[in-house]
Amino acid sequence: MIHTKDQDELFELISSKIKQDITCYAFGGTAMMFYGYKEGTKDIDLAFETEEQRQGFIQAIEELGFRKISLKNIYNEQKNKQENKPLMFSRGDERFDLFARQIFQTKLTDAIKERSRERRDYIRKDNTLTVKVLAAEDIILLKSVTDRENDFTDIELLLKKEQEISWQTIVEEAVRQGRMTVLDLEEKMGRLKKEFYIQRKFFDTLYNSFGRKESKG
Amino acid sequence: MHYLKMDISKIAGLRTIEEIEELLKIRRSYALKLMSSLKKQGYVGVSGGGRQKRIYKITAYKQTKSNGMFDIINRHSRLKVQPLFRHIVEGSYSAENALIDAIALRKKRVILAALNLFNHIKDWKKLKELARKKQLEAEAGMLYDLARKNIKTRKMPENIYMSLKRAKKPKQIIDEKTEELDKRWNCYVPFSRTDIERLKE
Repeated sequence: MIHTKDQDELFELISSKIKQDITCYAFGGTAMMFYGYKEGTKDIDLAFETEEQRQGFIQAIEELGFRKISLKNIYNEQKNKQENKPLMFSRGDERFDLFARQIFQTKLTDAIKERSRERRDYIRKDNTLTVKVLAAEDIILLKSVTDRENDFTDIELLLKKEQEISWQTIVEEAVRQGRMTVLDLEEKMGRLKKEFYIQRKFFDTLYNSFGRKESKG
Repeated sequence: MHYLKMDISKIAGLRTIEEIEELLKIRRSYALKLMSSLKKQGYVGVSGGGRQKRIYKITAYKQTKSNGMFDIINRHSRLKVQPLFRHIVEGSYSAENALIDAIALRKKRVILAALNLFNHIKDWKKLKELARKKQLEAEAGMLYDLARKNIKTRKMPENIYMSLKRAKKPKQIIDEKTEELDKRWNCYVPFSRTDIERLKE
């Protein structure tokens, strides 16, 4: 488990070890900590635009004693077989889940990158570690495609804390990502609508993306 | 109700003390004490006071002061920009960093406002190095020439200027209105005469 202040200090330390400027995107529990909605997280989830950037980051954390670990006990068999699974590095209680270009089935599109809400630059020496925090809508989308109950709880927390979540943005991005994402999102939205108001038109957009009939009643 | 157990998102937003009293159904003295405690923790910002009505900005997240690119630009520019995102920097970040980051953003208004930073550059070598890292030497040189012709700037040392000119850059779109600048730097000037006049206002 890593806490907010420790996370900041760790990033600053990593910035002193990197050999070039590196940009990454924080999502999941890490992003929620930057928002102030969580005090701690089990792992630090980061996505990089290129494999080169990811490798540069890995070099830096390996110098700090992080070692590569297996996904076996953490993700299910289906996720372990996927092409875009993360590389995981651990040191004591701290763990990094590092993705490149895609987060499992979800592509890191230009739209997602543009919507980043916050940018944190860590500059200890000559190179800058830039951590961009994804927008709440994209965090919700990413959490809706997992099977973990904790992620569903996090979605509920985000919906309670954030004043203006754009379901339009979430649904449009899901359609852009593809069928699997649409199906996962539709299932989560079905559960969420019991507690939160979600307009029917957003469900219709998801159904229409595959030529299904509009919902009745 | 103790403030530690309170759900702040219920009163989030811009509020007066009367609104807080009404929302939480508490006395004024307790409301003031609550705001003071939350402010110390970072969830409340205050504006006004004295002759002006005091307004509390309450957020569910801690309000860290941002110290990034947009703060530096707005501090030095007559043309203000609305931050496109919250930018927080841990470490040393100066006008040189802010200028190159503004150019890298590729947003017209941000770049226009950032031109004023050429009057606050202390380390031209640092500026050149940052531009080289992001492959923005030609853009930085072109914008320096543009700023120098139109507003007050510090003078770039000749060796730094020549170093920016020597940087290789593929041919970009040429704008006929500012033909001379484009040919020298081989890159597109995104501003019209009207835009540049706004800098002088």
